[in-house]
Amino acid sequence: MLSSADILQYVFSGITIGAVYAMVGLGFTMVYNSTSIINFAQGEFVMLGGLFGVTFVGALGKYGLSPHVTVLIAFLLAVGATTLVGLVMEKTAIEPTDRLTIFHYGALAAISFWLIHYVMGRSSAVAAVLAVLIAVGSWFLFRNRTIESMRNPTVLQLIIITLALSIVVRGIAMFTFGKDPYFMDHFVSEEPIRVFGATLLPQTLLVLAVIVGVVVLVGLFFGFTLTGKAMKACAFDRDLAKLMGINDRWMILLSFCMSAFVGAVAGYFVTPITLMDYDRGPMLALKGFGAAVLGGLGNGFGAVAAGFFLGILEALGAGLVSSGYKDAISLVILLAVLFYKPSGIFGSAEAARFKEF
Amino acid sequence: MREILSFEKIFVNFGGVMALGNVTGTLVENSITAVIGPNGAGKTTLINVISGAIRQSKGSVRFNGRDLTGLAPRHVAAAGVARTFQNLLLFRHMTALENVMVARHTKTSSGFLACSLKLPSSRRDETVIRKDAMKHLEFVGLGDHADIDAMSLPFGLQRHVEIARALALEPKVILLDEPAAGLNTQETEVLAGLIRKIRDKGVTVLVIEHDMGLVMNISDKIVVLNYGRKIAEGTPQQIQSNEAVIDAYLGRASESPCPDLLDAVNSDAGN
Amino acid sequence: MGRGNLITLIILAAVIIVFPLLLRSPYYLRVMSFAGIFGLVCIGLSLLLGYAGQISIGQAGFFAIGAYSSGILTVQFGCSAWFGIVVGIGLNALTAFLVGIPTLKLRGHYLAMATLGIGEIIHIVLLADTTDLTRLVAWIGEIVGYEPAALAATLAPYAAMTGGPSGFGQIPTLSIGPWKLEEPGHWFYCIWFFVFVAMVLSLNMIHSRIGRGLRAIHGNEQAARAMGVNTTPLKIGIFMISACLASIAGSLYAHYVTFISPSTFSINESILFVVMVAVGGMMNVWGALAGAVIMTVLPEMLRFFHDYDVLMYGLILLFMMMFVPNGVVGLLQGLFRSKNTERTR
Repeated sequence: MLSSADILQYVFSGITIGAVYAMVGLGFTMVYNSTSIINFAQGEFVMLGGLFGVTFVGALGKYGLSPHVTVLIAFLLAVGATTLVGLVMEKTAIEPTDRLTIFHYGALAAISFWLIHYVMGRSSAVAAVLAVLIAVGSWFLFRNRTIESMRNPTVLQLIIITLALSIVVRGIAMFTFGKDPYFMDHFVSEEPIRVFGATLLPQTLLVLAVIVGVVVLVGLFFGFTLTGKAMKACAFDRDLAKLMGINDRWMILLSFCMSAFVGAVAGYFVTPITLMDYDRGPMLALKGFGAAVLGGLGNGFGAVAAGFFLGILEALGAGLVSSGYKDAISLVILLAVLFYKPSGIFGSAEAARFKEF
Repeated sequence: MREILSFEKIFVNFGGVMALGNVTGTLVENSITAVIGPNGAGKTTLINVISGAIRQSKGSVRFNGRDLTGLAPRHVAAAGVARTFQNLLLFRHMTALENVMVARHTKTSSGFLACSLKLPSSRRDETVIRKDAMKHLEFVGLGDHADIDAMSLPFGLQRHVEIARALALEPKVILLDEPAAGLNTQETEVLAGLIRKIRDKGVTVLVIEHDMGLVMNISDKIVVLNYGRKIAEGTPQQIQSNEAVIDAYLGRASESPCPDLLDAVNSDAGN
Repeated sequence: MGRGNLITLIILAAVIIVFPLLLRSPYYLRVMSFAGIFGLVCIGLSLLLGYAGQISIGQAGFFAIGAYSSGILTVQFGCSAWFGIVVGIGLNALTAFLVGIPTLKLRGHYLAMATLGIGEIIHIVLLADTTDLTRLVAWIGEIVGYEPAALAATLAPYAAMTGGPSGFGQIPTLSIGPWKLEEPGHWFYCIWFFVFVAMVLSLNMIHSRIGRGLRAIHGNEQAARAMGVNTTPLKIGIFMISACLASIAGSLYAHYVTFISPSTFSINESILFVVMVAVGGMMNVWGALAGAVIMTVLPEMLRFFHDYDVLMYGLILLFMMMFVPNGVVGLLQGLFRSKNTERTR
């Protein structure tokens, strides 16, 4: 059969993708805890982290900085940009509101510009003018109107909204970055390390270190900072937290941004190994959700552990069975967990069964 | 008179919080029993336990000789115990009549096939369900409002719809969770009359309430809870003068800063 | 089912009968035939979404099972087309049953994810070619103890059946007795006959005890249970029905287009179905039908969006869910009704 070296090899490759599943799962958990919604766009944050990373690394190239500095600055820019996307998402489409905000008008202007310039082919000047006109015109029309439909969105409504957001973000990414996969040079030496007969990429170790660091930071944040505890309170009982003076809107926004942050970090650091293209999001979201459920929906550390577990299992499956069915293997595991133990390894049965949607 | 429903040594623990501790009581057939107590005393939890919405950590509930412990809410309803909700859980996007008709769901059995093909059995079921539901809607005085969207009715009438819905289950026992909350004096009087009508029809009533006037007015027996424990039980007269009860609601009676208030409460409660 | 629905049904029947007589162009008939096929899927989806309040993002998977069952049984095994349709329905009902039992007890996003997963698995299986299946079989064979080569050899012809990424064609058209459906007009009538029947059965069901039970579940599941309604079997039942409707649509699609490949049955299509239902009106079978028609006709009219169609779908879905959650039909209903006497359907 297979030697232990081969199996170890698969385990190593599983760590890389497992780290991504772990971060996506963590992101799902954070948003779920504060809002009870499953954010279908979670996978897109990973994709954006990678693609923005490639873009910024390339852009910084002409400044002739040392590679490590480039990597660092590009990291901050890429993760920052992705978090910004998460913020815009939340402000435009998730946060309950009864009137249109600046975010809505801004999004309207951007979409109009894109439609008129790129799709309909008019010049960018004309498009810009029209876009501004449309936005201002809408402002005139709607500034005193209340929007009932977003005042108190149902969980079902929000879930479909996140689905739509994931499509939109993916579409914009396809449009901006094209369909081809992008690659980045490894941040550390490309020389593989030999461990017990298997080869380990230094980049993989870097990924592992960074992810562990992120998990530790997140743990410290929730455990020891006032904001972190406020977020936990909000997740536990939003009305009660509001009575205690906690601004629940900030907490929800923060959880969204944090989930974008962790996803982007994973995306940025694994792109040198796995490459990144615009279409990675949905599969990552699905498997990341699997990790979140496997770890017990609502349990962040469980999601992280389950993410690594799922990644390693998938790599073993791809190596031992067939790479064509690799995705199917993870999905079957996901479904099996959903079917037999929806409370996950660490979760509670009550949380899974309590119905609100 | 015979006891129709009893709950014995009920304990409910949520994490570290004891919502109910060693609560025991009985409902006498064809009577109105009120459960009162300060907020957080565990009154709704008691109803949740009896109706099967939550599982008690210890203790049992017996109804008509049958042990209800561990039964799902729909089985408890089928056994003959119906309830209303503190926060009014009417069905959205359905008329008042349709809301009540749902309670008649289990009295018929036409399935997917019969219903989509509109077989005679399904049509018969519909007619019967509609007629029965209408009867109960009229019983609470809402016959004219049958085809109005339930959530667009005035609040007081929404409460009546929910009561009609619970009654449509044709239960032996009905559990009313704060039916007078949000009602003005006039509406509360109408409610009192309705509750008595329910009792006279042969349905045993358990009602959770904060409105002391209503409670003293209609109850045959009052059970008082505080911090999850039963602190008193008796007739309205007995409860009025019970020291422990006064303590719970107003603080130490002997040190009451407002003896006049105390008198006012006591004399009001006698109405 | 209410006078309003009855009248609308009569109007629908009239429009269906008259349409091919007025617009003889094969192009329009073809577009509207596709609208009808997608309409069947959407009716099923809206029953699930609007009445049981559950979401499925995997209807393309059920659609695919219907299409491939019909295709494989008629092409590879020479069965009659109607037998293929029935087998497709049976397979889909079983799949929905197996998926529904564990997930419909839980919160809604479990079903959402489960259907997403099932849809993806089906897509992957259809996409996989012979070598993948042989390796999988070899691996299973090693574990089970069979000679992997022999097992793979026996199963090889079956593996080739799905045609892998390129799919397969030569699917015979539908025939009713000796009469083969070849004219666009005849196909139009056949497809829309199915749609009409589906509408009648759905409306009957909605206005019956079962429909009311489902609406109660959607209205407030906790209260529904407290009123004695056995919620899980109802939800499983409606989920199975939505799968079966998608199955019939898939079979019709296979015989209509005579060629099927996995690219038609991916997650993008599942999302498209959700968009259709959202645009037309989630809470309403008429909305589902309207949405299917709108979202089939509109892209044809707006050709220049072609590269960006998925993005446009996303934007439309986003806009609808944020500002018009009850869809076009819901909007119209709201305009024609006053608050106090609001009849729900």
